[in-house]
Amino acid sequence: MRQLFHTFHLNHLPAPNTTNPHLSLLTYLRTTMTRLAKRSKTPLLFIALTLLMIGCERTESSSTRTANQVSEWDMDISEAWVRPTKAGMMSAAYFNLSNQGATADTLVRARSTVSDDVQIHRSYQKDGLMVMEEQPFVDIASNSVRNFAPGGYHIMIINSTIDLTVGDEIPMTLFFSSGMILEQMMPVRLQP
Amino acid sequence: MVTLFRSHHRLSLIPLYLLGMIVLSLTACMNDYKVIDDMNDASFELVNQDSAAVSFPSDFQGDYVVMGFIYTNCPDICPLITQNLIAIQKGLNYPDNVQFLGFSFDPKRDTPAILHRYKEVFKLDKNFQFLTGETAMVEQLMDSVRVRTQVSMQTTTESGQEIYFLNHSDKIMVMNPKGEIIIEYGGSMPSVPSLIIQDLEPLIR
Repeated sequence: MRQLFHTFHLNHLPAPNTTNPHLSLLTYLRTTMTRLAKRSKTPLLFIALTLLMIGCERTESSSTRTANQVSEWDMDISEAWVRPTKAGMMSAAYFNLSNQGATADTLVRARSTVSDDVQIHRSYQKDGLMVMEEQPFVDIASNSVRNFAPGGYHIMIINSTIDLTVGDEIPMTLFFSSGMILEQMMPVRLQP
Repeated sequence: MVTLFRSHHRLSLIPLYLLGMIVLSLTACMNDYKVIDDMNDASFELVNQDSAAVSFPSDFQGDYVVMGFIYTNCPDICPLITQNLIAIQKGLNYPDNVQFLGFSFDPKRDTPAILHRYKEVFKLDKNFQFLTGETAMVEQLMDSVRVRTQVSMQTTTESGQEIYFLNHSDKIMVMNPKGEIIIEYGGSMPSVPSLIIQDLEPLIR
């Protein structure tokens, strides 16, 4: 082993890619170990290094969330409804977001095909006035429920492109900071 | 001594009891609400959702009026206020002697045509009107009923449209047939319909 390190000089290794440090480091290690294994001509070492690389790759994939890893995101929408309105006028969507996962997540954006402008808003009372403010994000802690309800958090549908009539259903897409995207049809009702 | 005291005691309780009953009966019959505001000081020339001219309060003298204050670009609180007005009308079984008014405090955007569309959403009857008017007239009216508004958020939407929202007072009021405001509650509170129904039922019989 001592001989191995003496004979293989670090100058012979490719330089790590600085534009994508995480991926380049793995490539760098993989290349290095493959060369070391070939030079040592020791099958046992080659097998050990291969196993090590498999371990590295698993580490890499677990840090990147994919749609298949639903268990990490265990977020549900329930009791959704949307206020009726006329084309060109405002509406609001309400629901409960239930995060039963072990990690917190953050609602960062909402979209619907019935409007070009959908925003996250919150109403509350301040100095004797009812106030409504756009929210850049809404945190949903782990094992908690965030209510989007009249007089509080809601999804504002600005200038609906169509009439929203009681009995209709409209699509709503919620985007989270984790990368999770929830899509649901929400019924149009006068009240919950 | 004991007998004397007892008889005196009985004698003194009877008139007290009678007096108490009279006072209670009178109070129940009078439904004496304190006048919060007298709206007869001024006349406000407005238009409803059908562009018909409306003089407030004179056009409503003789009826009770339940009124809320809204703007149609408000998707959250104002529908709650409107729905509370609807719940009161329904809870009172659509009485002919009670008018329901939704005053817009955003006359610049809430034209009669917009209010007409807003009314259509809620499918309201002839005793439920939405009112708007010239900006100065509406501002004067809002001052008189102490409804405050302030521009809160101005934003340009993704489609390039400039929109603004208003912070506003949250009120539902009841005006009696003489044009006096006698009841005032928070407009979007969930308990408001039952409170106003309870208040109004004995008055409108």
